[in-house]
Amino acid sequence: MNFSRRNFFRLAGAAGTGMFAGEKALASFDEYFTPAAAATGDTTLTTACGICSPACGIQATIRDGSIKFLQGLANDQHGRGRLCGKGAAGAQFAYDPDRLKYPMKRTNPVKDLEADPGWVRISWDEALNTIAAKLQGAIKDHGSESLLFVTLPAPDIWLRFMNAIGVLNRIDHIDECFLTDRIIQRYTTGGKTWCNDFANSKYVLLFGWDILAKNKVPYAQGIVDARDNGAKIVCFNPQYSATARFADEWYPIRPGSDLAVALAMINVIVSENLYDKEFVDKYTNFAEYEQKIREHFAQYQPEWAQVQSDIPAESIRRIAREFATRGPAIVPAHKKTLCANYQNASQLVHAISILNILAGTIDRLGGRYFARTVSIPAVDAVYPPPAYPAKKGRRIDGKEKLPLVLEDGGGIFSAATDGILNKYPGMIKACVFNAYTVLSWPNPKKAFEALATIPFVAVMDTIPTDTVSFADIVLPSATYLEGNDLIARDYRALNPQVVARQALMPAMFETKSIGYVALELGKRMAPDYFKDSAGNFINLSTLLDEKTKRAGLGATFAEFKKTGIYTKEQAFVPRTTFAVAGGTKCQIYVPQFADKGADVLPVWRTKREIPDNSYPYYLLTYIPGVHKRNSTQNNAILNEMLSTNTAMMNGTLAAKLGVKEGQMVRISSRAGSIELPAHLTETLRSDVVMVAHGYGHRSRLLTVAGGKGVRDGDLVPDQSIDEMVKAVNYAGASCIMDAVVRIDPL
Amino acid sequence: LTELAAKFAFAGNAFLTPEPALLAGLARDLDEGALAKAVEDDAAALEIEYNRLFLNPMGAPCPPWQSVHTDEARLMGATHLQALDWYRRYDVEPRAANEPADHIGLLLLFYSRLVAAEAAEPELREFAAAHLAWIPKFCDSVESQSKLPFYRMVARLTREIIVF
Repeated sequence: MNFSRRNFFRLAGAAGTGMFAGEKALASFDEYFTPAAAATGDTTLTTACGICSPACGIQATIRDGSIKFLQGLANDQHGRGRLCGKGAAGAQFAYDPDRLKYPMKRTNPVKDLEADPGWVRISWDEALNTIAAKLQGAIKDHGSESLLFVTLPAPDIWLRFMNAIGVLNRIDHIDECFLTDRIIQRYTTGGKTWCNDFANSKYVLLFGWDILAKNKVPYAQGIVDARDNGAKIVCFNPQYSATARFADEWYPIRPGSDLAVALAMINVIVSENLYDKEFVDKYTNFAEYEQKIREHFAQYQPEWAQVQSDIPAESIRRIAREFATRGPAIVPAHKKTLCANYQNASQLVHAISILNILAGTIDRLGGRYFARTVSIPAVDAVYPPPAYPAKKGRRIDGKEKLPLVLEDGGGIFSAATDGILNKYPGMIKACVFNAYTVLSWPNPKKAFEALATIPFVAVMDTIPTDTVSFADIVLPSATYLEGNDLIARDYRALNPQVVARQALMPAMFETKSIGYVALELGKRMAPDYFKDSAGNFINLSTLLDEKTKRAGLGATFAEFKKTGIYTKEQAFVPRTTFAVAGGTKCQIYVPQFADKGADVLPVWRTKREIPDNSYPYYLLTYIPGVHKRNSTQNNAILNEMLSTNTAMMNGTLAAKLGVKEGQMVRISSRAGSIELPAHLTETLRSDVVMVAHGYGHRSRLLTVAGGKGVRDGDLVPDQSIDEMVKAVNYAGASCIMDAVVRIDPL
Repeated sequence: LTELAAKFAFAGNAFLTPEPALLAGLARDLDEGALAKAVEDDAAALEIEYNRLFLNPMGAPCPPWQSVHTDEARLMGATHLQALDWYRRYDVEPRAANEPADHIGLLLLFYSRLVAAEAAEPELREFAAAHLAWIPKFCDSVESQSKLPFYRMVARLTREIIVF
């Protein structure tokens, strides 16, 4: 031991003897430092990504307690040993310098975007006590309709909490995502599925969906498999997208007219009897409604569709014939890039579902199939709860007027603002955001006005969001890299497979999981719902052990996580009965829709907004492949790949407007306007302008994302439930890609 | 030497906690009456200002971790591991294992202990070059951002004692 090292320790004894000025300061060293444990060096752990829903398997290298490197997990059938850019940059989420670190409360009651909220740190106990008291008070004085939860219905224990206190108004983003698909698949094929067997498909038809840029690894690999295995790929998209470049044929379709093309394809396949006769006769209700079906689709000739879509009738006819006869064929319908974005999305998803049924590929190799999965029991199966209270009151999103949405249970972002401001002003008294920001809502400016009317707001998130500016309490959330869970595969799932998501390190700072919050609020507000059969409070790790055991994965989670992955190899047995609402056969004609304000067969309807003299251009929005919605822009690595957004437009359009590359332009819609630089690209139709979503965070002090880019949402009008009903938008599409705009050079 | 070390330790504390009684006590113990008065004058506002500058849940203007300033914008990176190595050479480590080791307060506290322990000049220089060189610029930013005299004074004090 050298001299200074000896002295270093001797000081510990000298401090506190009152011998010299400043000794107290010196002594404070021991408040912050402690004798060192041995360095641990490098270890590797198996876990699962948590950025998007495929949750690809990860092999993590940990050095001395912090994440050194993340790579794909070899045996994982989702990622097959690979991660996307977002997944590989995942450590940055845990290590974001702007992370919410400690529970905090505001001391300045004035809520607006400019005022300093006067944040002070509080303990978790105080935070939870305050939230519980505010929620309880709102229920007591105004009924449970006065609570608004902006969150997914997950994890299961969080849903249990909401059920236990009777939360009626829970909304989430799925109206901007897969809501239409989930609702319609339930009545046509037997439920939502993310599984598309691209590898065995011979014909892949894509309406809008930029499957490569979407960057979900199982899909991106799937489309490459399809290509490698000789499938033909046809793409309808106003943009020459990454996938279009990869396709055999690309058609720059007019925005919002995909439905016309799909209807005309059905026309050709039905009138020329090209459908898979065996499948259709045996497993669908075609025979029962044959005459109605034939009569209905007779009106949608390819020549008619050409007028709507700018796609040559002859191409539509040929593609329809090829699709029906060169299979197995598939039209994947999935999530934001297609289903949700136009007002006619419900009808489009129905038409797409019919195309897949006619191709005879529902739950067949080369088609859309249902995940073969391991059943992991939810908390309510492990610890059955007492009966939940009835949910009473008025719905802020008004979805009782859309019966199919109501029975689905998904909430609607796009109608929430109208509900808060106009329909039921003052009704919401307390609001909890979990991992969402109003930046995801259409017209966020208006959403801010709505938020400002709510007396109490709690926000749980990992990084600062715009919504934090309105929060009374901020709860710092742990990331997926700091938590434990069991993840069953449901994107590529011919074989059942489960991956252990395990904490790679202790949760940073004072961050906690939403499961912890659910349990702790539950203990305070509805203790009877949070006990096991012996009457003790539920313990989250015991619960996970119990799930692991009941799913047959191991005696405990600790045991399962050592291997971290379970796969059951099995032969694929195609379904012969389909779990369709109201029967066991796939439904082309959906008789149940007649009573639910929906079209029994898909009817041609236009998109919400059509270009006119005031707003002559279509607005397209997209999520860049290196980003996930608005949650990744502050990731330094991902931000470097694409740090801001631009007004992407065709050179012909730019010349007409007198706009040069990089020149600032103002894009305006009836909702608002944004200003951003133009980027000229030949990959777009000359009647559209395209803007990336996720930028323009109001938290301008964000280290990386602050002040970069603008909000596309400022151009997107929100909607009222009555407008949705009138438009027969029966499955609740948010219309986030349905605006028209004008463009002015600056 | 001890006085210099104590100043480093005081600065470290000022960046680690906004506790007015503690900071005023440390300042008086150090015969820094002006600093003590600055704390006491704004005792009620100190915590809010500390949080606004360093822990702001809307994005902090002065993130107090070295990696954010010298590495890419992230925590727990190379400088965290290097700082941890330094601490472990002296058989200590930060109590909070789930927080970055390159927090300005920890770095200053550790350096104060090195100074007080009369560490060899090359060792002091090596640590300072690796872990203190970013701090003067950080202090500029604190000085320009802070609404309270106390943090401006702490920034100036810190800049004064870091000499290369």
